[in-house]
Amino acid sequence: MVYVIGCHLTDFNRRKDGSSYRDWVYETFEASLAMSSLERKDIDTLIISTESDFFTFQLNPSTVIADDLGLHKVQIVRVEGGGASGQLAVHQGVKSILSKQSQHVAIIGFDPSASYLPSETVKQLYSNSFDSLTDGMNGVTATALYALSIQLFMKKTGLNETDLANATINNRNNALHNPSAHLKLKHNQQEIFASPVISSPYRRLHCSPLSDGAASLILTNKKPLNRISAPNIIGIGSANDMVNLGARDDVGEFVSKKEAMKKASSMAGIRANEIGFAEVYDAYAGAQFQAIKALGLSSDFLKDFRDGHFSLDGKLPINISGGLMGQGAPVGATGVGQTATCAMLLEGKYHKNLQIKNIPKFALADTHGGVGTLSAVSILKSNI
Amino acid sequence: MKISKKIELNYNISFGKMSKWLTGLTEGFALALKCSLCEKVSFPPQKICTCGSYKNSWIKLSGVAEIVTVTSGLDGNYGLVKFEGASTLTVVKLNNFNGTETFGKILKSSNQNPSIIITPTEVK
Ligand SMILES: [Zn+2]
Repeated sequence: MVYVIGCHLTDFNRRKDGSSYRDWVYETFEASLAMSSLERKDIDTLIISTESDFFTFQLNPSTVIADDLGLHKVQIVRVEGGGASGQLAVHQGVKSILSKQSQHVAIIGFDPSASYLPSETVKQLYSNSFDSLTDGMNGVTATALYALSIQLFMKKTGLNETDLANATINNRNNALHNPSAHLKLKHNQQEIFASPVISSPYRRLHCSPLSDGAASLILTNKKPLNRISAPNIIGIGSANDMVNLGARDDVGEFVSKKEAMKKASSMAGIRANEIGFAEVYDAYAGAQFQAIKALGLSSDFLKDFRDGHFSLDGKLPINISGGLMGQGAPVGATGVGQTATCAMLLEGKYHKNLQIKNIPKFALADTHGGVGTLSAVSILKSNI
Repeated sequence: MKISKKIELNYNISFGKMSKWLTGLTEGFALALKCSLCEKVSFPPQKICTCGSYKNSWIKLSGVAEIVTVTSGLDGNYGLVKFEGASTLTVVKLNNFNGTETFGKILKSSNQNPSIIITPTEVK
């Protein structure tokens, strides 16, 4: 079995305090280690997740981080899968424990927003995170690709611009109660409809921000006797779809997510409708709906959303943290942070105003890279 | 304290089998790969067909495409289109989109930036 005995997220925001990603990594690791009651020397495996060395100005960052954290003679792996990097790092940790290669694993995800680089450079680099020969050459942005995908999804499902606005309002509302969130904003519909169109139907306020930040987990292979409430990770799954949107069987659907979920729920031995709480990858307001549908969390996602079932007091709360849209998105940290959020919530240790009173049995963390190109999900179980 | 570091990355790289396709774009035509087994035509070209076959040959499309959907805004005009003769859809950049056009014709792109750009047209 895999137990989560340490979890932490730093603030997600744009740092203006002169700190470096190496400080955030240190901060989150020390916090997770303290929560785990382990000592530094107990950690036998370090798994690092970060998307791009362009943003950190550091190739092979795992080794310098190990030195910063005082971890020596440990196994080290760096995991990269675009936006999915953090969740894939969680999977790597789980696999390492289940294969008996590791007993105590530290997983650390981080990324700087690289606001110190010219925004055009950052845009170009992210264009190259799709196929650099096609999408990279014509300069199409992530927003435009997500927009093409959601247009077809909206046509097919009846999701409309009011739903996009309401999802934005919901997630940012949740973020108001999350002290570490990047965008703690109280929006109204008019404000969203007045926000500039980046790539129709997506407006500026429908987008998640690029954040600075780090998140961490400490996993262990034995039930911690001093903390019997530590939750388990009981299912993991990942799958891909074609990078080129036009080559996909269905441009509007996140097929890779459906596959990843199938694998994770089969490993966990549960059905998608048993999930009681989920952090899903809402890179854009519409992506949240594409995710919910693909993950099979609802048989009628639109009705359930409009009836308020995904809100904080609903029957299946989604993105209580604020999601990427509210909490923010430091790429390599995102998936680790989503899983950490699930773990805290399942143990009753989440932020006071966001903690669900009736703790669900199962939670889901859902992450992807590209436009649902590489999906990775993890299922956690409460021990309360 | 802040240190300013500047790195210039001047990529001068080759693209192997895809070079033929990229050269096509700079000459204003659309080269696609046609699967020898199931005859599926992919544009952009997929080296291995979804049927699993790796046997294929280059074919030249007319360069005329039907627009499926377009996104516009501060990030520019981009669309999903169906090129005549292709089995897949293609993500393209649109040159001067007015919102009423339903077709497009591939545009010759610059030598240094071979990309799939179409000029939208009202009629085929
Ligand atoms: Zn074929």
